[in-house]
Amino acid sequence: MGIKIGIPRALLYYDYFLFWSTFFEGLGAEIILSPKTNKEILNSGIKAAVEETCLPVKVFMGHVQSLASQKVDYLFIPRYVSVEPRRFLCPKFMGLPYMIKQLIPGIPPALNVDIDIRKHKGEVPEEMYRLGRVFTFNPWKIRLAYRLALENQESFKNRMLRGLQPEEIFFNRTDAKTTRTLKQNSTLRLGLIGHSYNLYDRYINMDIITKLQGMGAEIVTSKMFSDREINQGLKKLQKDIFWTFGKETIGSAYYLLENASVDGIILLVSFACGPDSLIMDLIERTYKRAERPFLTLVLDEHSAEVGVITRLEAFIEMLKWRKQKNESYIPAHGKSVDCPESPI
Amino acid sequence: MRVTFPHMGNLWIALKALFEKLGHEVIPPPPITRKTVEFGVRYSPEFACLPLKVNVGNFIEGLDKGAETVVMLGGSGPCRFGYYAQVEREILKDLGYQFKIIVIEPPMGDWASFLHNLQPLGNGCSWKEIWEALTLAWGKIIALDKIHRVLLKVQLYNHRDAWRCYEQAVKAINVTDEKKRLRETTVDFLRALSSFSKSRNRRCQSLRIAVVGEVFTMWEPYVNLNLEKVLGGMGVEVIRSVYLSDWICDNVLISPRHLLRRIKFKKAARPYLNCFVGGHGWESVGDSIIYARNNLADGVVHILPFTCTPEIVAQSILPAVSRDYRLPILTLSLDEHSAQAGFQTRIEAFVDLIREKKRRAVKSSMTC
Repeated sequence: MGIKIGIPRALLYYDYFLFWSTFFEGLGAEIILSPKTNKEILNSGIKAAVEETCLPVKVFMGHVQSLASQKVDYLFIPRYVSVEPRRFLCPKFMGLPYMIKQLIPGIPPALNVDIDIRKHKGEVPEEMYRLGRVFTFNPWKIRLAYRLALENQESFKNRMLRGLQPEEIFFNRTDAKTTRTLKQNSTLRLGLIGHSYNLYDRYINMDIITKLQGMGAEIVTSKMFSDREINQGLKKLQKDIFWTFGKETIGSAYYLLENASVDGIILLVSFACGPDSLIMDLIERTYKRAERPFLTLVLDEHSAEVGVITRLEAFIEMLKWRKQKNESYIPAHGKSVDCPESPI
Repeated sequence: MRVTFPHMGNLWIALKALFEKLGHEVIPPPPITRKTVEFGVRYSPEFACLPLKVNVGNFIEGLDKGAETVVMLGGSGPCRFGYYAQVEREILKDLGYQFKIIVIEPPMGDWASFLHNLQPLGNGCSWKEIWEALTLAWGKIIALDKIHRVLLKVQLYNHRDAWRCYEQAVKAINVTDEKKRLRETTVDFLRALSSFSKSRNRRCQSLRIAVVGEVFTMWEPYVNLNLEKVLGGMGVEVIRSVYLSDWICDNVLISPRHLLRRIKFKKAARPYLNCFVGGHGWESVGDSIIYARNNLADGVVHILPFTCTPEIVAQSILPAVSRDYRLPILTLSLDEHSAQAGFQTRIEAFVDLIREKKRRAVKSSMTC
């Protein structure tokens, strides 16, 4: 068997796993994924990380530790700087390999690669050759693997737009409870806005998608918007936004605001997320001004499932009520719009 | 135009001079107090970092005093600071203020729109007048930084008088509006301050502690609970790693001396952190290593606002630096709940620890 590469099932796994798995498999490597996030992983991550770090990064550290105990030759920890011109990912992603190196000693050697669009020139970036050389000295093989990986990534994006969940696409598995099957009997349409690692990690978001579907709502996630739609949403901004995830979040939220195809949106953010602390505020303000319903759920390691269920139920009830009576003045965010004396 | 701007250490003095020279009426926000922070906390997003909250408080107080234009700095990421102005504008709009906001964004090659954006600030002044105003403001920044640097060196000899002298200097520099007078004042106060170190009335084995980290919390004494003054009171010589003039030299003027400094810290930080992570995260790591390696400081205080993303990266890496270089590092995360007493205790313990470490080192070097 080839070289074994451990990939943590966290952070950008939900966006780029298909790309990396195609690339590495094309070079004859074997991929070992960490198990799905569970309590043990989360706890070991919390122990390793600095306490102020956001939940997704803590989860990532937990996954790294769980892979370290399995027999892998390399851990794959890419350093994402920028995936589109003039936009960055988060500063924590930039420092991630360095943080891991210092915080989690005694792990297998890490395969690092810098994803920085500003430095990528030519058809196949130099960094990919550098990474590929660990497996093969044949540049054509690297080139081929890279091409195939890009193609798969493109098709992944398109399938995400159709409402599939990343893990369904990665493992070619269609659960009975996908978004499409529930369309017929759903009464509400909800926008679920957030970063992919919060939207699709069923442990840290307490399986919010299934919960909402169970309550009879159809879900549109922020990953289901094309670039064109997101750019249309971004037109409302005075200054172009310099975070890629921030762009997706605010773009899809603003797009939904103008194209009233949903009954309300839910913002899913992790506590202490730098970019989201500002973006969330901008979205909230715009929705309040437009008197449209929204709910913000802040995730951290202390989030309790029951509390979340209560809030979701209350939100859905409110939306249904609002829809049945066809009344827009039912408060969506704590303050009654029509009656200023209202004690709420 | 009646102009206001956010506070950050002594920056207001330079901005006041700049805008007054350009013929604006300047309404500096009142000094940061508990009330300012309370305003900021009430209206800002919950887990935004402290500088944003303080900014919002400043703007509210400035606008309440009658300002109609807010001047703010922008940025191109990845630190949140670059998007501050956008959020602050919406917050103030929702509060019902009528105002104009001018955001100074880095030109990024587009000089035409950069200048167009700043036109209202120019107020129809000639290029010569603008140059005069800019150089006066720059002169004030340099003067204040110079004096502050000396203050940090001498405050441990005569804490009270040194600070009194510094406060007088700040006042005097604030009122001068001529470059020649400014130079004279600076020289006078520098001389007065240096005289303290000659009159040593306190024999102490001097400890040196460097302060690294996020710049707003480093420069704003209300926010960092007077860290430098507190350390000085304990007989510690403080080294501030970045001054406002350094920041401007690094990011705007790009002077060769500062380029060299940047190369140095990048080289030092290489085994630990070899990339830009936004804000001053890289500097925090690199500077700490330089201080340890060249024996410039006995300890480092790493200061950051709660949830500051770049500094969290640094915070994750600094324990390794501390271990490898045997350099004591104290990380202080500040937010609106930081209290003086708890803060004082932690700093005292830290200073005691370093003092003991140094005493033992001296002792063991004497025995062998």
